[in-house]
This record gives sequence, structure tokens and C-alpha cells, in this order.
Amino acid sequence: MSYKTDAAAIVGVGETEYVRGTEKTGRQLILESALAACVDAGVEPESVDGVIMAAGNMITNEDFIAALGIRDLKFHSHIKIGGASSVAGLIVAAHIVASGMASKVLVTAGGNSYSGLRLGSGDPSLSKSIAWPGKDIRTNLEYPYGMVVPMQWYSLHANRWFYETKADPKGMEIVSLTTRKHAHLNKKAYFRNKTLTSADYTSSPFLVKPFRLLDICLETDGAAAVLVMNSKEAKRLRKHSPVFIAGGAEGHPDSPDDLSNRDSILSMGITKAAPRAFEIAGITKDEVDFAQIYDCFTFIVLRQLEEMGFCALGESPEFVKDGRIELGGQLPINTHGGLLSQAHITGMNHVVEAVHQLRGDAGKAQVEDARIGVVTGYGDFGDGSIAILHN
Amino acid sequence: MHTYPRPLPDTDNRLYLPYIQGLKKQLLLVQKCLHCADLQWPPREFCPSCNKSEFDWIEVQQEGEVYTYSIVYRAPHPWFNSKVPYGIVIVELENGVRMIGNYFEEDVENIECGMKMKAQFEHVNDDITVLKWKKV
Repeated sequence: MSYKTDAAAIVGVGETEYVRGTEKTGRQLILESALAACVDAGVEPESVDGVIMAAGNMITNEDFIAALGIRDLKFHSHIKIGGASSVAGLIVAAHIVASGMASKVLVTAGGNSYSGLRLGSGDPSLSKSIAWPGKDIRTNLEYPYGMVVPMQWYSLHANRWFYETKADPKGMEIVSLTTRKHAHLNKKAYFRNKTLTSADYTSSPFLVKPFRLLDICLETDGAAAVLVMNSKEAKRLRKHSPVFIAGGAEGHPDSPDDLSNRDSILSMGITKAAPRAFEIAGITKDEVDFAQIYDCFTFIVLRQLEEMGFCALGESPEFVKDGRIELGGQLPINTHGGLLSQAHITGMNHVVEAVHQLRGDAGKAQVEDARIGVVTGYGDFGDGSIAILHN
Repeated sequence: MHTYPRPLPDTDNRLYLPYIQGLKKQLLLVQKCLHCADLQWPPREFCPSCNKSEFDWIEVQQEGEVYTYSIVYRAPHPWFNSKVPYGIVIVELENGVRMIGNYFEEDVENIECGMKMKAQFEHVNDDITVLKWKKV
């Protein structure tokens, strides 16, 4: 199978351990995953000539040059749209190798979101030390009213969604439980051995309504990276079959740094990006075999399914019922356990899992005959990214 | 036990100063573009409709309906620990302006979209007044 936009492919993936508590710095973790991606691809680290750093501020292009021994770095870029950065970075990498500006581009993410400043810590420095977009809005309109962290921002979106659509809150529980079930099949997943029942879910405390503790992603230490090359050169590598990037796009909501005053809080970056990505890739949603959907909160998985067009507005809780999003179902999602149950690696772990599925080496979580997969990112105040991959 | 002060708006921020001074006078002020007359909230340096950069500040009404809200059980900053559960309410005023404020009443868990709310002003210090919403 080939597509008109198949110019680039993922040739290597690398992941550190996913843990809570480490002596390693965020920089060390990222470099470790980058080196692992080179080894996985069978590529000399010194020959890498492009790096894209997705989210976070803990690493620079100089760090890569020094650690990998890169001889001639031809391109670098920082992508700063939060959880949408990993997939957006992947798309940039595809265009860079397609253009010939660089030939081997690493896309990296991760850090110390457990051992460093934790978003869930209640630490007073949270309102000072994190460089969110829209600093004036945060400082003058949100922090004084006790709105400081993402779970609160997302609750504004969720509460309006429930009000407008009368969607069934049960959908959030289904995402939480399904994702955990998948984590049990993944040896890197932080919650691989921790079972989760419906009773556990419904007895977990509300941290901010409508989100219970078990609607909210993990905070972990770790990093992941992928190596992108143009497809022609990728086919010459012998270690793995390349995973082709058929298409992708990023999108941004109106009123991009302010959730409250956009026309509809339900309109997001992926609302704009998804139709573009499917058109670029030349595929229809019916052809998708699995989706790794950015899951910082259970409800945002439901909303992305709707905005990508897999189901209508308000109908995602119905869509996810009866095993449809489980392995063996029509559209398995987050087959590695996601941010909810594997680790929060800013969604780069979703890209890595998509590659495993399309190589056919996803182990117990393998989607049978997987040919086409979707990966999404969601960041900051509704930025979206989506990539469509195939083997 | 160490106590942490409430995070407060930045009175050195020129973009927000008219809003901050308005609250002190118990007024809700928003930007109005001098060229295309569009209202802009939150305030910004440029008008997205006509890209000009000159604004007046006008008063908007102090009553409206809840557009959306958050009910917080785990405070993200220690000043709010004694307030949980507390509400953060986004109220839609005239011309679609949506303004944030707290809801610290006992019945916070009954907040719903569409509820009518009116502004209340809480004096914090000589420079700062903050906004609370109260059911009409």
C-alpha cells in the first residue's frame, strides 16, 4: 500500500523505563531514549542531522550534539504546544526529511513529571514556574481564582459538554477501565500489575468535577523518541520494516490561549486538523485499524473521537460501549495503556506504540492485521495534532 | 504552619490595569476597539478583527448566566485549601463577554450552566479587588 504523501517513515523508536522516582535528570532520560531510537533503527547516532524537541525546556540542540556526537546538525526545532507537540513534531520531521533539509531527524519528548514539579502537588510555585501560553491571562484572570492546573481547565470544557449534549458520564469510566486493561498487556506500563474495577473507579475521589482521580493521567519520569527518515532511505535499513507517515496536521482553537471566550469551548484544534489529515493521507475513518488518542483525561479521549468524526457530538459514550475500543473491537484505542495507565510521556509513547502495532511486534496487545493507525496529541488550551501512519 | 498569600492580579501589567482599577470601583470593564468597535475580552494588544491597537474601556453589565464552571476538591494552591470545595464560574454577560470569578457559597455543588449570577466585589487590599459570583 502507498499514499501520495508517503515521503517519510519512522525507522526507530526508543523508550526509557517509565517510573515514578528517578535519580536521572530529564535531559538524561531524553538523551537515553534518543540513543535507543538510533540503536533500534540501526543508525549511527553521530549521523543524526536533525532534532525536534517536543514540549518542555529541559534540553537543547547542543545537548544532542554533545551526547550523540552529531557531526553536522542541519536542523533543530522546539515545538511548544504541550501534549500536541509530539505528534506535531513528528509531522514537522516528515516534512524536513521529505524536503531534504536533513535526512535523519529525531523527535523527542519526556522528562521528570514525577520527580520534578508535579502538576498535582498543590505546590505554590506552580503558579510561577510553569511557562504556559497566555501568561497575562493566567496571572490576572485565573490564578487569583484558584484555577492553576490543567485538570481545572479541562473541567470547564467537560462541564459545558455535559450540559449541551447530556452525554452519559459512564463513557469516562469505560475509557479509564479499558485503558487499564490494555496496560496489563504492556510490560512498560506503570500500572501493568494494578487491576482496576468499576467499583474502584466509582469510589475514587473527585479532584475537580466531573473528574475523579481515575479520570486523570499519571505523572511519571521517562522519555521516548522516534527517528524519522525519508522513505527511500528508510527502505534500505534492514532492522525493521519502516512505518510510513501517510499524513498529518496540527490545528489551533480560536481564542487559542483562553478557553472561556472562544465562541464554543467544544471547538478544538483537532476539529480543524483531523479533516485536513485524513484528506492529506487519502484515507477514510473506516479504514483505521486502531487509534492512540491523547488521554491526559478520560473525557478528552471521548471528545477527540467526536471531533475526528468517529461519532457525532455527545455520542462518544455510546460509541465506546460494548468493547468497541478494546483490543478485538472495531477501533482499539491506547493499546499500551496511554497516559492514564502506561506513563505520561507527552504522547510520544502513543507514537511509539503505533509503530509497534504497525511493525506487528506489539506483543499481547497486537491488533490483528493492523495496517493503518491514527495518533493524536492535545495540548495547552486545545491545540491539536494528528498523524496517520501505515505499514 | 506557613501561610501562603492568595495569588493576585499584577498591578504592574499595563494591559490589565484598567480592568484591575475597574474592579476597585466595582465596575466590570472590557476593551473596545476604537476602530472597528468590537469588544475584546480578555484584553490584548491588538484587535483580532481589524489588527489595530487602540482601545477604549467600557463597562459591561454585572449579571449574566453561567457558561461553564469548575468545582474544585483538591486545591492547586495552598491559599485555596480552606475553601474546598469551591467554584470557579465563567459567567456570560452582554455581548458574549465571559468573565471568571469564584463561587464560595455552601451550595457550590449545585452550580449548573445557565444559572443566573451577579457580580460581587471582594476587597483584598488597597490595590486589589477580586470578583465573586452569587446566584441572583
